Amino acid sequence: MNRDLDSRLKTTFDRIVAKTPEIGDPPTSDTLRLSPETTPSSRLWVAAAAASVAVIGIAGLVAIRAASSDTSDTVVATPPSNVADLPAVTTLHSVVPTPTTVVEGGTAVIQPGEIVCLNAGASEHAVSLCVDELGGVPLDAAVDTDNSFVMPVDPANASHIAAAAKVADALGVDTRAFDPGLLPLGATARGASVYLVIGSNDVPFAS
Amino acid sequence: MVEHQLANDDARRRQLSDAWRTYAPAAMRFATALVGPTDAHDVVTTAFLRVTRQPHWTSLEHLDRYLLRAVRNEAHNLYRDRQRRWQRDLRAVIPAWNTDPTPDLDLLRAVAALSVQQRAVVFLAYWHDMTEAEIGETLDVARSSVHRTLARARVALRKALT
Repeated sequence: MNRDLDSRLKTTFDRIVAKTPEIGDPPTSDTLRLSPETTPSSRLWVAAAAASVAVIGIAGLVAIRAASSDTSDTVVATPPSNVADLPAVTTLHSVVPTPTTVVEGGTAVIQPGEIVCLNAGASEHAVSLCVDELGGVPLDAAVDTDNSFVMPVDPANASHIAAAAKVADALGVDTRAFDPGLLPLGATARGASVYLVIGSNDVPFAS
Repeated sequence: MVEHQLANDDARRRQLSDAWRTYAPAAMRFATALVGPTDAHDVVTTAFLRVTRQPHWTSLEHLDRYLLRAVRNEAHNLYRDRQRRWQRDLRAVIPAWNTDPTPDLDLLRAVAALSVQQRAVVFLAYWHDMTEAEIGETLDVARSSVHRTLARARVALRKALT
């Protein structure tokens, strides 16, 4: 197992490293930065702001304590006589989040890694949406199709068949029987249970 | 005065160019293993600029290790910004799948699921054949920490492959 893992890891990293981009020209100070640089002066500002918040907080606490000790012996609440009993009115602002993943009852219906996004003539945009929004693993199909559908990874596995039906229902696409002819030679999808075959119509990611 | 300034600028540009040509290829491979080819160039560029903006960067000992550590830190920042690490990595190797008859999807997925630090250690151990002590020196972490990180990564990889 160890030797197997070692050699497979080396091969995998060989594949990844083979995709290393060219270094190109040396970067200059005009080059776009990924994240803003933290300078000593910005750190000073953060420290000063934190100290100010702490001082204000302590001062507030001291003031509250002082106020409560001044009035602790004479607290008598007497409501004014001319105040009518008004019904409490509460305005509810319900915030409905926009889901980016299909969810049901607080649990994601489609778990990351459950789906293989099988690109059967779909646009790159559709495949990237499948990856980003459904946590799917992208793979190019051996042949193209017009329409999108789902099929189980293992046609003999009842949970895969059920998962395919669930995904089909959630995405509004058809379920079809497993078709090995769609898969590229040697591709394995262990860990996934559903192939989402995205056809040239880009369903369910057509804009 | 102006000529002196121009000569200084020219010397600095030459130093930057030399350092980039010398150290960027290894840093680029390292970044590709950590964040995938799509973001690797940006990560290395940002790391290189951070390092070379320091006042005495030319006198830094082991600039290569320094740059790798900066790349690792930038990769951390990138992952904090984007919480979709394994999806992006897998997507990044799509072109290879078309020509490669036996893609090891399970292992790719497992490697992509490792943390940045775990992947850095695993890459240096398996691809660079570095010892735990060398990895510790390169990433500026204790050897015992490297040992633990590597052990946890192996457990995670084996678990993902069974």
